[in-house]
Amino acid sequence: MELNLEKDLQKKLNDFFKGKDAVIVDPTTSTRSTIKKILNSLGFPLSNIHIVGDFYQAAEIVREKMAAIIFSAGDLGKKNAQDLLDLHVDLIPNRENCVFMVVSKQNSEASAASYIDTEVDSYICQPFTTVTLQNAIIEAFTKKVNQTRYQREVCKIKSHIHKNDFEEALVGIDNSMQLSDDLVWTYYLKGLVYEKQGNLEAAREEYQVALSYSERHFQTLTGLMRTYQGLRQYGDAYSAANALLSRFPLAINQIPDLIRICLANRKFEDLEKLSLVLNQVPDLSENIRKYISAGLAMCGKHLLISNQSKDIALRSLKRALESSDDNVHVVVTVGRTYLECNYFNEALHVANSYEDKLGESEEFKIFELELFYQTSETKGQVLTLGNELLQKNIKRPRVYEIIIQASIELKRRNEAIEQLVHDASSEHPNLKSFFQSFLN
Amino acid sequence: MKKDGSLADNLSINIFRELKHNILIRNNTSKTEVVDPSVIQLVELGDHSTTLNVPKNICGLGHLLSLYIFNHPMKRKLVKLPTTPLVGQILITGRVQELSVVENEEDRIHIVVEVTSSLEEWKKITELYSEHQKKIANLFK
Repeated sequence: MELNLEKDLQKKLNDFFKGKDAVIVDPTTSTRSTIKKILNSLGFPLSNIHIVGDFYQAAEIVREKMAAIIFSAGDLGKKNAQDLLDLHVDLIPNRENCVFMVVSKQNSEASAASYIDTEVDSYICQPFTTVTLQNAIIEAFTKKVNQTRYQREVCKIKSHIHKNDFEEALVGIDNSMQLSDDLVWTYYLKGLVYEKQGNLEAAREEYQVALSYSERHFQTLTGLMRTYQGLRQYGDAYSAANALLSRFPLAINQIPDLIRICLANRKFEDLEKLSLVLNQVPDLSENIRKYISAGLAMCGKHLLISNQSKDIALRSLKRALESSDDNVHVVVTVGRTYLECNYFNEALHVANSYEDKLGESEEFKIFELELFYQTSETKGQVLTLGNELLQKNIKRPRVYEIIIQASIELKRRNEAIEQLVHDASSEHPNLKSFFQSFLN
Repeated sequence: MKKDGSLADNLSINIFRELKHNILIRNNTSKTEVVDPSVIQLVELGDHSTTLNVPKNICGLGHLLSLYIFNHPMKRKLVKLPTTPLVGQILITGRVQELSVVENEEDRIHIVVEVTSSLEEWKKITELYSEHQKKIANLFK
């Protein structure tokens, strides 16, 4: 493989590669060898390329060599490229001289979009053509070696922010003002500093200035969406989300935020559409599945509780369970929704189906207690289960509340009820008056 | 911010769709067929060749293969390869040029198949992936 690069670019690349190590982490052997060949043809020394097959080997070598260049598969078993990127950014917060590329089988726009607001330099879809892979790699390196002073300053500012060194970040932000006419990154990062310091009003103002330089800046639009949510200005958060989605595909990790914004604005028609779309998503890989199932559970829950689009809601809850991978939060959300909306058979079915897998989970046990309390004709069973939870040190207010109510319904001795109220009040002093009210 | 339109207008299943093809294989040398597309993965597309991840016993070096390529998802499952072309089917032939064992998967191999017919059809497929990559790359600019 021979690449005839311009002499000037080749010289810059040679300088950039000096003293650097590269790690290729990908379980697919042919992809690794193709990347290695391309790197070598760009002038990167073969002896400094380290090929590994999983996240843990990669983490070890990245730490040991402080490797600046990483090619990571999207899925790395239980871990993914984002986990490796987090580790890499912690080790080398200033990305001026680093290149991190993701080579992923998850080639949908929604999957790729989840990496936009990260330090990933390039997202390469699999399967790839040899030429596109080659071009993507050359482009990423060319961008790195041709950085302007402004771009280098932005890297430094980001690095200060990553280390929570906000004073230094603000100094860098001031410096950067002189280095470019396009200051979208400067104002975005200023907003980010304020946002991290909890000054949301100031953050919002800076983000808006950033948008005056470019309306198509993913990070700023996302920051603005977060800030408006934090300020409880949900109408504006909705507009920011709308501006984001009209310019970029929905990033898979933004589904929960989007649902919260729709709910806060009571935009049930949007939740319906989102549910319909999520219901159709084919070929769910593990990484995507967790977002989709959680999204479907949330949409289904709120559509059913608000008595909107019952069919879509029920379909979403069912699909959420099917794609839950036994995630306790999803399963309990679905079970509780059925319970709350009086779908007792469905709720019982959830409890029975997941008892073996999730029976040890606190959250699941409380759901079961709630279910027994609402459906069981013999409240004795509720007391037995409730006391089991207390013995296991699961002492949430709702557990006490149910046991006290069941005790009253069972006409237990007053002393027993008083003892329960006393225990509950000692455990949760802030709810003392609430528990005391059961004695009246 | 300006309030216009609804979020739902910008939500489409297309952003969740992955670009994939299903490939079935007839090995013209050994006279065998693989009709389950889930066992054949397209790894890399070259101008005149392709790298596939396949079960290890389906071919040997130098074997002549016919690749039946369909859009994903396939409309129906096939039990045997078609004798007359199906709608949407692209048929390409090629010879196995390289063969290597897949690490940690003893029963799988990577094969490099040199495309020997229907190069125009093959080019169209590679262009689909190039265009898709361009669209993704634009998100990061």
